[in-house]
Amino acid sequence: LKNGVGAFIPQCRRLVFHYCERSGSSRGMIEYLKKDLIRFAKEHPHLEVIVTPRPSKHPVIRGLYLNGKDKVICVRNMEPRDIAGKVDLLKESAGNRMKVFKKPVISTTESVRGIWSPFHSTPHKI
Amino acid sequence: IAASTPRLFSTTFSASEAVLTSSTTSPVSATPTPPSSSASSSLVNLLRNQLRYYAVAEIKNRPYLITKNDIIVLDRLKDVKLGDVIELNQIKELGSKDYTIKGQPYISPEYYSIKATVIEQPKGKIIETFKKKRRKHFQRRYQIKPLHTLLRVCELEVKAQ
Repeated sequence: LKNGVGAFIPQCRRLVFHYCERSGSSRGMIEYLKKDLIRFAKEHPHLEVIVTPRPSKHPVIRGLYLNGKDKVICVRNMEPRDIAGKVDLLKESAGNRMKVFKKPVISTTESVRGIWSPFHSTPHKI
Repeated sequence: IAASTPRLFSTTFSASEAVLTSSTTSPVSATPTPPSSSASSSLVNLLRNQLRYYAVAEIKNRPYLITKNDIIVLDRLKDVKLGDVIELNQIKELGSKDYTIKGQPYISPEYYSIKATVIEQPKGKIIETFKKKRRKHFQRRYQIKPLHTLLRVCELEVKAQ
């Protein structure tokens, strides 16, 4: 039911890497694809990793999640180290929109001790 | 699921006995009895016979009131991966509808078993702080993009004594 209670299912399903063979903005991306990508793909066997050339466009990483949404990050002119950081960002997210977390605990269970009622607490003494 | 006990959450509770108080909500209130070491296990069993529990867990010196299946939103933990199971052992308070155990400062881990899984490590939305002092030509804009770790409480149990 709830992810993590019984079994944990990683939310990122697929990572698609687009690069251009000719353009200069893909230089770091091509280096990352040659050096680090295979090791990353082996460490995460649950992820489907797709690499396709996309000529005359900036390099892009696209993450697809279990709720059907996707996140796209353009990695033009980035070094392989920075691209690895962006890949980690996509891998560890869950497809939801970025939002401000206002409360420290998100809960759907009812309160354990019940909601206070003046009729069910110790009577007021004068 | 690899059950790991990370260094961050090493227990530092004192050896003194935790105080068990009974806080019933019925009009006939029970008087709280301080436990002797032989009676504490029967008092914990009183707690255990109730249906649902909550706990006040301390993670990185911050309290979180949790029940089972909750999501805890933390600042990013650096040495933790997706799917890791963390055992929480700095528990200040463990309670149910009618009874609570209050630790001094923490409760002995032989009374409970509380575990949380790392489910996500997202980036939050940009938070913008705007400061202005009028007529003084002072204004600043600070932007933070916070990093979080989400933990799901997968187990919150009171152990049988």
